[in-house]
Amino acid sequence: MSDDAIESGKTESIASVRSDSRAEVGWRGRIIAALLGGAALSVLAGIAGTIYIPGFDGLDQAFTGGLILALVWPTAMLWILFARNGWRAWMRVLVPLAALLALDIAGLAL
Amino acid sequence: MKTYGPFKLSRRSYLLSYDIHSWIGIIGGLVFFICCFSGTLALFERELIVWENPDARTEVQGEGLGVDELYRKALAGLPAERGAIFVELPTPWNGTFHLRASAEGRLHKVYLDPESGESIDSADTTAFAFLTHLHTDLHLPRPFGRYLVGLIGVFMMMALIAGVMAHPNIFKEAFSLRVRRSLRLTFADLHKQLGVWGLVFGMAISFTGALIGLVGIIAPVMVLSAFGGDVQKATEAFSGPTARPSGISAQMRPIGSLIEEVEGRHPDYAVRSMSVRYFGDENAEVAFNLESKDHDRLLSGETHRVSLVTGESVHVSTFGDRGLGTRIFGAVQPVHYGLFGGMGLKLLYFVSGIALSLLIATGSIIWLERRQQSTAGADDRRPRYFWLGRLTTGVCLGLVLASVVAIAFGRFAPVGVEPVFWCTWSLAIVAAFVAPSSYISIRIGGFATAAVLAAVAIADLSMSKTLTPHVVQVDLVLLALALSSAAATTFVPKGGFVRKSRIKQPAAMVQASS
Repeated sequence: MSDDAIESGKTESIASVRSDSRAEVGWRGRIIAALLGGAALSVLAGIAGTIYIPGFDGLDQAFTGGLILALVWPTAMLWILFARNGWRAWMRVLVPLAALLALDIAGLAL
Repeated sequence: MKTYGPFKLSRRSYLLSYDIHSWIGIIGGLVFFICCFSGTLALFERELIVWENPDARTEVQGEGLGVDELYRKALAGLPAERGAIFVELPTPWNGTFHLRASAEGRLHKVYLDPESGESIDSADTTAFAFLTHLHTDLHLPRPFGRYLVGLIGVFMMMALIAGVMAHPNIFKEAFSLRVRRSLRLTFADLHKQLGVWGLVFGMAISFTGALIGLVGIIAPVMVLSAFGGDVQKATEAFSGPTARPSGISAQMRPIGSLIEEVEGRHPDYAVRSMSVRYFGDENAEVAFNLESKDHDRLLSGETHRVSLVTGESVHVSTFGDRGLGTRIFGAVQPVHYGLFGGMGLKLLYFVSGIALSLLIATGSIIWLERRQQSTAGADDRRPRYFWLGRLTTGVCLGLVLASVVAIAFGRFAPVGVEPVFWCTWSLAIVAAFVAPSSYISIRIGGFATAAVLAAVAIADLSMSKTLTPHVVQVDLVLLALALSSAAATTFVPKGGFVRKSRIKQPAAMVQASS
């Protein structure tokens, strides 16, 4: 299967591409990382949004945080699934998680 | 390096996005379909109350009784010890004066004819309320069902985003429908077309559905960060100060005149429902829920709390006149339920909802067909795909048929809705497994759906004592749906997607024959 054939949008024949496709590894690790990490990242991103995005009042900030949470969740899960293996997937969770956690703690403490 | 599609994806990312799209679709497809199809029907829960309940087909010819007189009459049917009383005023889709309150550990409901003030046995929906609960909670215990539906919204968003990434020529494919080659190819093209044209609708519905479903989880987190965990403070920020009874009785202002005052201040809005607290007490309040008369505004819902003693405004809850976050959040429900454009928009939502359900079903079907017909070392998996295909047919088609049968029972025998729904669905799933082919199941199910729809509409038109224009319109729509269902079913062949000569035999079969 050539790249041109794939690009032409004939996705019904994509199953045959599997024979020469890359050996994807760490699916289980990536899926677990996506499910757990996606939820954790979205909650922390929502809290960060509530704290740092200026709003009309506290209620407005809470609503903004909720919207960010719902937007980040699927995006983060996809982003984690695109990692090359389970280890990299967990790195995609832990690095932003640590950054967001630090931001949230600092924001809540202040 | 060669890149793919508008997102300039690498070959690996492109293939991966296809895998993610496929696997989310095949694992969650059945639940996605249940949510989408039941949600499409649930859109009309309010509008079909009159159609489903001949008792509720009341038409106010003259002035009718005033709100206060109806309220006092309805109040007499409730226990003395009760919580807040919720009142729904007569509307074109529900001509009754409806009052409900929790008392003695259960929900009490009273329905009155607004003209005579006489009590009506029931003006509830049974079928549509049942289908709505299937959509919102999957008939699971609260709040877990609601959370699961919210999660389905999150995964649907993922599937849609991955689907866009997996189709490099997405805009070209929006205009490609190859109907003369094979039905599988037609379905594949249809899947892409429905996906492209319904992308905005699908994203909006899944995003707003995720928010509505998960608000029970999201809200405490946001309250924690925005209000330091003070729930009372957060509630009062939106709903105003909490009312408490004083224990001192006082003279109440007429509710009818308060409605006129509120509507006078907002000429484009009408009071549709209200919630009364501590009636007769010095701190008695009424919360009027206002809706835009023409349903032409995205943020049309407002709640005005007014003192029943002084008539003064206590608090106005609105999503408008606030920050962007609140405005977007306030638009979530109107966007999800199609509440901002009148009946025309609801019908567009109905068509889009059916298209979204078809998108999910066609996605599963083409994935399964492809694998069933593939011989690439998948002999051992073939039976698995076969049974999964039968299950998909049974669940999807069975839900359509069971919903239509439930609607028929909701109209003519409301007590039987639930058992009939589950029995029909179960039988349809069993039938899909024992049928000679899935296409025969689809044909039988499609024609049966059309027959039930037509029979219900004709029976309602011929047996109803009161036929309002609204009811006739509903019956005509049902007849049109019956015809559409029958017409669409005629396109499904009796055999498979692909001609027999093109189906590759499994390696084991080829060896045995040679």
